[in-house]
Amino acid sequence: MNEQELKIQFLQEYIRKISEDLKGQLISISFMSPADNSLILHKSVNPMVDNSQSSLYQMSILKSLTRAMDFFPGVVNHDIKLLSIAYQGQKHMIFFSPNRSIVAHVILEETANLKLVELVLKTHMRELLTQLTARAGVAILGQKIDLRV
Amino acid sequence: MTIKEHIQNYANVMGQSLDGCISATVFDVQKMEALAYYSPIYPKFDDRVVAHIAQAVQDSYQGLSLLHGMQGKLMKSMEIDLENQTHLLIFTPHRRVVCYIVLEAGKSNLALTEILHEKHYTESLLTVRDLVMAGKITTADPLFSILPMQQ
Repeated sequence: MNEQELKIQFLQEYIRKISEDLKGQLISISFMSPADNSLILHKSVNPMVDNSQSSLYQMSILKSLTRAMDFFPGVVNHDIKLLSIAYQGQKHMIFFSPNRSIVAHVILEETANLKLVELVLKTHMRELLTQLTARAGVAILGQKIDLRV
Repeated sequence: MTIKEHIQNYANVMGQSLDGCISATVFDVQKMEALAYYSPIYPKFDDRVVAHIAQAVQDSYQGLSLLHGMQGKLMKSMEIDLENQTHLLIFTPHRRVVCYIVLEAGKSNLALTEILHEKHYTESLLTVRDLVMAGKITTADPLFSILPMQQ
């Protein structure tokens, strides 16, 4: 299994876990590569819904906002930890992985509690990484796809 | 008083009411320029900030059409979390006017910020509307057309 396949397997497992905990709140989740603006993985609770194009668009907005932060005074670190958008009917969370190799875009029902969702995302990421890094040969993968928000 | 001065009052009141407020700006998304700015820390305003943020907001509006079932829906708010600051964009019923509040990360209370915004923004609009109806502000005021007077 090559690195890309391992990465996708890891993200699929991550999606499976958060889908269970966010049942009734999660609409879709996408993972993208900011380096080449490509989609790595997209999963919708409703298989008829495809928000992948929107996810790619949101990634470009995240990049634009990151550039805007260059001009705001007093910003210690210009990297955006989390971008949350509230729409009529939906809430969105968009964030970079710490090494900025992946962007995640999570779409939730309007009623979702973003602080709780953030906690679920962090907890499962930490647990999965712990399991993965415990296995031989996947320590590098664990570092590369750490998605802590 | 002009409408611009009333909007400036809103920015002043927001900036002075919020603990940890770094700045309060109101901007016109279409023109990509600030209508009002208040900061107890940074008196000089950098136009480039609003230009970039306004561009991102315009892109967000356009991006709505790509979202399944979200055509015609409104954006309510956007929160940008940085290490030491939280930037909050609050969208008004009229999509063209956006309130942009920046707070210290540890001190920010976003729920309170939104409540205060609702109160002060509505008050500002009602005051402006009353003044227009009383003939004290003319509808020829350049900002008259961009404010949601029907709120």
